[in-house]
Amino acid sequence: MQRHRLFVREPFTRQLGARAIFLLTVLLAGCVDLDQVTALAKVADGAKASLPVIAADFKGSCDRQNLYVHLPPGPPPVPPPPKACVNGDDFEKLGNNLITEQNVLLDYFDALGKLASSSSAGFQKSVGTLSASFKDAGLSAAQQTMATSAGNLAAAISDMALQGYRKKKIADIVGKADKDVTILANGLADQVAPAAGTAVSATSYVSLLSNEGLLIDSYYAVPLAKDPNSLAAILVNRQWQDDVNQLNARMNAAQAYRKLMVSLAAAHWKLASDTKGGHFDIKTLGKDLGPDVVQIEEAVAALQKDLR
Amino acid sequence: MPDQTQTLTASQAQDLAQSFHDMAAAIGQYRLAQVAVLTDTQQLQLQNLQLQCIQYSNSFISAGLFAAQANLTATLTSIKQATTQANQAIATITNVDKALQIATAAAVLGASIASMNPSAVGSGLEGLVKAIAGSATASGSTSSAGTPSTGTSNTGTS
Repeated sequence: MQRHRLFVREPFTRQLGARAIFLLTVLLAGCVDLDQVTALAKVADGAKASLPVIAADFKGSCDRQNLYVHLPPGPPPVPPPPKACVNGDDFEKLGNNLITEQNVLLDYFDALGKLASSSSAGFQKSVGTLSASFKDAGLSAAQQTMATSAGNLAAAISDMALQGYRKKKIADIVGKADKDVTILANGLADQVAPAAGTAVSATSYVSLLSNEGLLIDSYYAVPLAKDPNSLAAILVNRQWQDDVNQLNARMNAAQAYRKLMVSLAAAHWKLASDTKGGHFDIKTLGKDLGPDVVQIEEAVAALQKDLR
Repeated sequence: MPDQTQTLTASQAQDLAQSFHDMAAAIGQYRLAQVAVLTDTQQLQLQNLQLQCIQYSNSFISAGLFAAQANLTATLTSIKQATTQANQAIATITNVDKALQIATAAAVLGASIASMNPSAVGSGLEGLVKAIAGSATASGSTSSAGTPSTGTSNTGTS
């Protein structure tokens, strides 16, 4: 005979556990996965190691350009030929400024990531010791179980409250900062490389590389045109190709940096769009941000590869 | 004011840098095309002109980049403010966590007092003292944040 247990009261501790699970389910449904913000911050941090190499090369390109001066045979000409680049100090300063600007952006993403991942871990650790403490205090077994459940529930609620606080703060900060993040990220991108396929509207690191490329070509092409078939010409051709390959690697790194900055701005914009009004939608956020996070990771990997 | 020096915009600097780059490229092309005709001296003269054009181009590249960086000053300030806001929120969370630890320790002390067991009371007191000591350390490192109670009330607004 089947026994019906409808309306039979559950033990208090079991009710408590069930309520806690229900509460967690309700509160966590439709909430943001703060890991997305943390992941974005982590990827942004990947740019930290890459930019100093490009920034230092502002002056590096200037110095290299001065090496591509072909002197005629005989004693050095008087006066000596002009330098191709005389403002190395300015380019060094510009490179350092670029690092400072980038660090402002990366510090912002870093703080955002820390805010998304900070938790009440210390409190939960304290709750873990409750059971032993109440046992020491001479409570009965049933009382100890109750106390432990109450402690666990309190920990879960506190954690959710803090999570809510974090989400609210992130939504607020991201919403307010989005315009400036977009301006700064695009500004950094523009200083390093112009957008491909559009009219160039400002000077950049790539402009410097273009001048360097022009000097490389003249430096090698003119003497080779005079003596194209000698053994020396073969060696000079190889050296020319090596210099061009290095220049191309720098160009590629610059484009990868641009891609990274533009993707960061786009990811932040999507984050801001998804968090308008303090409401997060994990499905939308994950769907929108996922490809950008992948794109950023690829850009960082490409940048590091080209800068080796 | 015709005699006054005017700062170039990023766009104007780009146009000038590109123009001088193009001139240098044209001179380079001429040097190459006329390699059989030009003497070494003529090549050197043309090379000098080419280098001067590149030099001007580089100067305008530098001017354009300085202009672009100057345009970002206000943006940098705004983002620094947003970063400060995020760091303050992190400090608040740390303080809330400490406040909860103290509350937990106090609950244990209360239970131990109720048990009338002297050793349990001693243990409970010890736990509370530790929690408060930890809080004092934490609040010392995050002095810009609000008090623990302020932080707790913040969590309730979510």
